This record gives sequence, structure tokens and C-alpha cells, in this order.
Amino acid sequence: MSDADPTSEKPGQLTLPPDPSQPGPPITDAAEFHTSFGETLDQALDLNTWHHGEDLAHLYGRLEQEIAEAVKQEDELRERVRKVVFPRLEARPGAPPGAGVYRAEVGNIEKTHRGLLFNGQVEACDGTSVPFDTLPITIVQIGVCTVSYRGDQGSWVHRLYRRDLRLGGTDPVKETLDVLEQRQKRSGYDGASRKDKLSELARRGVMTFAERLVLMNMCQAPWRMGHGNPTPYELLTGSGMKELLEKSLPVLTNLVEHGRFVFIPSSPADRLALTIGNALRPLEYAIIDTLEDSIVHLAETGKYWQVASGPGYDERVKEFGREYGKKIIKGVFRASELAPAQMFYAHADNAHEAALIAMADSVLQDDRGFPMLIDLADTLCRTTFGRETLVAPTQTAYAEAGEPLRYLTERQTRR
Amino acid sequence: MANGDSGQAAAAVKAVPAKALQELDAEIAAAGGELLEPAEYAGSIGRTLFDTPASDDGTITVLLPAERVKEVTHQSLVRIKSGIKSTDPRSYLGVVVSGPFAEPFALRADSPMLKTVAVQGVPMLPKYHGRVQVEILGEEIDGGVVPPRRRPLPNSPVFLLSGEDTARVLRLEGEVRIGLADSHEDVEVRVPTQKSVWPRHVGYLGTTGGGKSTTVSGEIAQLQAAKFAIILLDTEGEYTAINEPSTDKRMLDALKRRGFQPKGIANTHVYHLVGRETRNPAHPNRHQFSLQFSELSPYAVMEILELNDAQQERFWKAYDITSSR
Repeated sequence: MSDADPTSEKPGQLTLPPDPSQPGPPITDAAEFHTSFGETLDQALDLNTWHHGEDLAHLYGRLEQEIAEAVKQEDELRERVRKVVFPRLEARPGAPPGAGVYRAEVGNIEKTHRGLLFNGQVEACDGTSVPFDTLPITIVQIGVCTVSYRGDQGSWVHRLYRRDLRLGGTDPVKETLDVLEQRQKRSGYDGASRKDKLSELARRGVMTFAERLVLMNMCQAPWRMGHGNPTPYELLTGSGMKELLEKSLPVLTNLVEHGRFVFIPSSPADRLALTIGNALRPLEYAIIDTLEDSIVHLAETGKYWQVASGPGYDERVKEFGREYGKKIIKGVFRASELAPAQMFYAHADNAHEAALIAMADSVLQDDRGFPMLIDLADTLCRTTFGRETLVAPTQTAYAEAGEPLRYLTERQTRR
Repeated sequence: MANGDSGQAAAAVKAVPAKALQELDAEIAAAGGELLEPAEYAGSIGRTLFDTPASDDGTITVLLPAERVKEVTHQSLVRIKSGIKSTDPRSYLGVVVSGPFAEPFALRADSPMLKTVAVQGVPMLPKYHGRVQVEILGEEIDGGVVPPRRRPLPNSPVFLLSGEDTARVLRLEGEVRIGLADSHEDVEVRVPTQKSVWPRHVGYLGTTGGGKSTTVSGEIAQLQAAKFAIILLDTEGEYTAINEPSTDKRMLDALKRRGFQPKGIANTHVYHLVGRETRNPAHPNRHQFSLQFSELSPYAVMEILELNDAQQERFWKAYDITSSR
């Protein structure tokens, strides 16, 4: 997912994304502010405590001090986590089978390279969505690519054309008012808005669905590697569209039943898991939890559509969580001394193999500690379906329509 | 204790379960086994890189694993086997003309982070690879080397030529050993003992102390053994002790490294002008000589004295008068 959004990681976390229809953000107080930031809220709001201009000397001094202290304390925390938390992971109430911390040997990694990765037994998939947003029309180009080290490549693209104004009715006044009402709901150019569910759906829901569908229907390799969470928030909520949820559940079910998959998110917001991951040493991995609780929690707290008879959509998501969420483990691994730990998701039955695959692919770039195959798929996507591939023909089409500049936004014409 | 842990922490970190490793083995076996490097690639030191808009005709970029960087030196000769898996395999010869350079993976070598790490002495060495630029000397066809009409394909294996192969490619065969080829530790430059080669096609260029005289001395010994008669016009007298073994420590060490014994050249003679000294008065075969004006040819005298026509006319007259008496 090139335009990574932390909200896509939500089913793997203990918190839910903020929603205007839900209560506001968690309440904090001045004492917590002081504890976290090392200064009071009053001090932060008092311009007399601010420095004039850039004040680089103060910036560098403060930065070095804060970061040095934070690293030192984090190092101490790492050791405490190893001593206190690691031994409890396995026996923790609700821990999945196999929970705990493991260390792979270099030989395991080399074998995984030669036996699964480099001979094309793992295919990775990633997608990108590029919007071209103007007043008359919004075009979203969604591309999905797969790649393996054997050289197999696949790419699929779809473009969505959204027009608020499609004339043809009998009541021009009503049509005009409808257009104004629709546009009032929409966000600004190139922006996401929770009121504007359709844009969010187009940009993220369709792409994440397509990524998983491609992984399951187009890939031939036994192992499938994905980017993000295997059961993302966009699909478990349908991105506000029950039809997408209905189509997503069978695909996700199929993925879980396939078993041989590993997903690695780019920017996981699960700091609890990352704290455990930060205590890992290179080639160690930890199996922490399953996705059952978080999916069930999402179903219980999310807003779902009601149905006249039979189980509601929330019940269907909850049932999916109980049956399949518990088969997906959440873990962390560290591939490199230099780079941060990464989270991974895998089927519980193949969790160790999945961890070996994720680590073996990540040691190939020790500065990132992140699977290179996903980066390859991402690069392929950006090259094949990047913004330039959409912008140029769209601007040409506007020119041919007689309005080369009128509907282009300031950003689109910025030099 | 594992990885510096002790007690509970050490016990908490377990090995990958044997069952999972067995499943991994089974899966690899089902996939046809581990991917092994093709036999044709065995022994290669690197692979050719894809071309970029900055690529030039005649040269190609080769990337090397970090552990092989030290094997490659400037001017190393390499063989590039292109398209060995295709129906049109080709073999190219090349020479390393720049590098080897060390380049970090992913990070820019001049990134602020790496600069900070270097200056602050942080013990961090990101993974890196080597890069060399290879000038393509030619394509090997039927045992010969012809000018290249194509470029090696990307990802072609690159092999370092052995000293023996390098000598053969550079046609360094011959009886007289000049020395080691630049940047090579085991490639001797040799020249055949053909009289058509030595008088006209050999020159020695180098900085002071670069080893010109040492090279000449070594060659004299070898040419003498090949029945060459050698006359040295030694204005500095630096070869007058050529009959004695070297006593210079650096020279003795160098000879020892290469398995040679120090020795002088037998049957040498030093000629010096009457009334002038030689730098080696102890030479066993020292001879004095001088020019006898009366024995010179009148033509040689005129040439030596650079006489003009009028002077030559008078010279002849004087010569005739004195010679007739």
C-alpha cells in the first residue's frame, strides 16, 4: 500500500480509529502532558517560552539531549522487557498456541533464501492508488502488482471515474441542488474526509480488496506475501459499503484457509507489539497474539448495517473474527541490528515458516529490516501506475476538451 | 546463557521448533530443492549490472559481494560470460579500469547519517557491495580476441583471470622476465629474446628510484644467458658494480618474497677513460681506454669538429701534407 494509512492496521490493535460519530479522543490531563513532554501545558502555550526564529543552536542541543536520554532509557527498557515480558508471553492468558520468543539461526535464513525466496516460492503483492481530483471529475487509478525473485511479475489496473454531475434527468433544478449537496459533503481536493465515504472507498477499500484478491486468485507461488494487515479495517467495515464487506469476507476467508501467507505492515501503530519487538535481537521473533479479539472488538463497537432477519453484518464480522481471526497470529521480528523491529501476521499453523520468510527477506536490506520483496512490488507499482501515468493523459484530455487550466488545482499547476 | 541473556530471559528465547523446520524442509523439497548457483556461475566474483543512461560504450559496471572486493585490483583482467543460459552465449575479456569502490546498500554513501557515523566513531557498518568499471577489451572467438560488437548482458557472471590466463591474454610469454605487471601479484611480464625486439622496441620510463636500473640489470643477466652481447654506455657509472650481488635490504627482501637469490653478473668488463675514475675501481675486469687522434678517420674528425666547407678544404690539405710525410 503506497499511501499507507495507520487506520488500515486497526484490526491488529487494541484501539479503534477515531470516528466523528463516536465519542471524542481519549481525555488526558495536564499532569499526563507534563509527564510525557517534560514541561507543563502552560509552558508550551506561553509564547515567552518559545524561541525567536529558527534557533538552530537550541534545537540541536535539545534534540541531542532528548534523543540521547530517550535511547538510553529505551535500552534499559529493552533489557527489562526481555527479563520480565518475554517469559510471560507464552503463558499469558489468551496467548495463542506457540506464543513466545524464538531465535532463528543463520542456517535457517540461508535455507529459506535458497529454498523458498530465490526460487520463486514466495510472491509479494502491493498496490497503489493515485487520485486526480478536479471539480468536474475525480479519477482514481488503482494499480496492483505482484513480483517474485524468480522474475515473475504481474500488474493489474483499474480506473474509477467519479462525476457528481451526470445530466439526464427531467428535473434540472433538483439535479443542481443534488450536485451542490453532494459537493458539500466532499472533502477538499486530494483530501480524505470521513463524510466523503465514497472517496475513501475508492482510494483504499477497492485497492486493499484487489490486493488480496490478486494474492489469492492470480498468484501461483505457494507462499503469498502482503503489505499491511491481512484483514484490514477497510474491508472489515466495507469502507462504509456493505457490498464491499460482503465481497471481502469470502476473500479473507479464502486467504486464511490458504494458510501460507505472511503480511508485514509499513507503519504499525501497535506500540505495545513494537516495544516487545524493540527488545528482540537480530533474527529473533515473537508470536504475541491473534486477531480474534481485535476483530470481534471492531464488530462490537463499529457501526454496521441492520438487517431485517438473520445475523446482522456485525454478527458476520464477529463470527469471522472468532472462526478465522483466531487463526491469524500477530508477531514481531527483528532482522537487523540497525533497523527497527517489524510486525508480521501469519496463519497460526505456519507462523514459524512465515517468520523465517519475513526475516530472510528483510535481512537483504539491513538498513530497513523490511522485506525487500514488498519494496520490489511497491517500486513496480509506482513505476507502472505512478502519478505521472495518470496526470499527463488527464491534462491532455482537459486540453482537448477546451479547458486546459480552468479545473486544475493550484497543486496540479505548481512548478 | 544465550546472547548475553541470563536466567529467565535466556530460557524464554527458544530455538525455532523442530517441527516447523521439518515442515520447511518438506516444503523446500516439494518445490524442487534449494536453489543452487548454476555450475556456470561457480567461481564468479560478481555480476554485470543493468545499463543506465550514463552508461558508455566499451565499459560496463560490475557489482561484487563485499567479501570478494579484496580479490579485485585495479587493472585486473576479467572474463564475462554473457548469455550462458541462452542459445547465443558469448565471452568477453575486460580490464578493471576504475574501482573497486565500496558502496552501501540502499543508503547513499554521502548520506548525513553515514557521515555522522564516520565522524562520531559509531561502530556501525551497513552492508555494502563492491563496484568496478570494466573496459571491454574484446570478445573471445575461436581462441582469439576480436573487437566487441555487442555488450555483455545484465547479470552475467564475471570471472577473475588467473595470472597464467592474464599472461596468455596479454601475450606476456618470453624468456626474459621484466617484472610483475602493474596491480598483479603473480603476472610476470616477459619478452622473447628476439634481436628484432630488443634493440628497437624497448624503453624504460619511470620516476627516480622507480626501479629502472634494477630492471635493466636483471635483463642484462637474462640476455647474457641468452648469448646476447651487451654494451652499456654508463655515464653515471651506476652499472659498474653489476658483477656484485645486491646488498640493499629492500632489494634482498623483494628477492626473498619472490624466491630469488641475490647474485652478480659474471663476465662483465668496465671500460673507463684514461685519466678518469670509475665508480667501481675494484672491478676485477677494469680497463682504461682513450681516443688516439692519429688513428681516427679524417671523416670522423671532420664530423666531430663540425667543420664547414672552407674548413674541410683546409683540413684536407693539412691532412694530405702530413700524411704524405
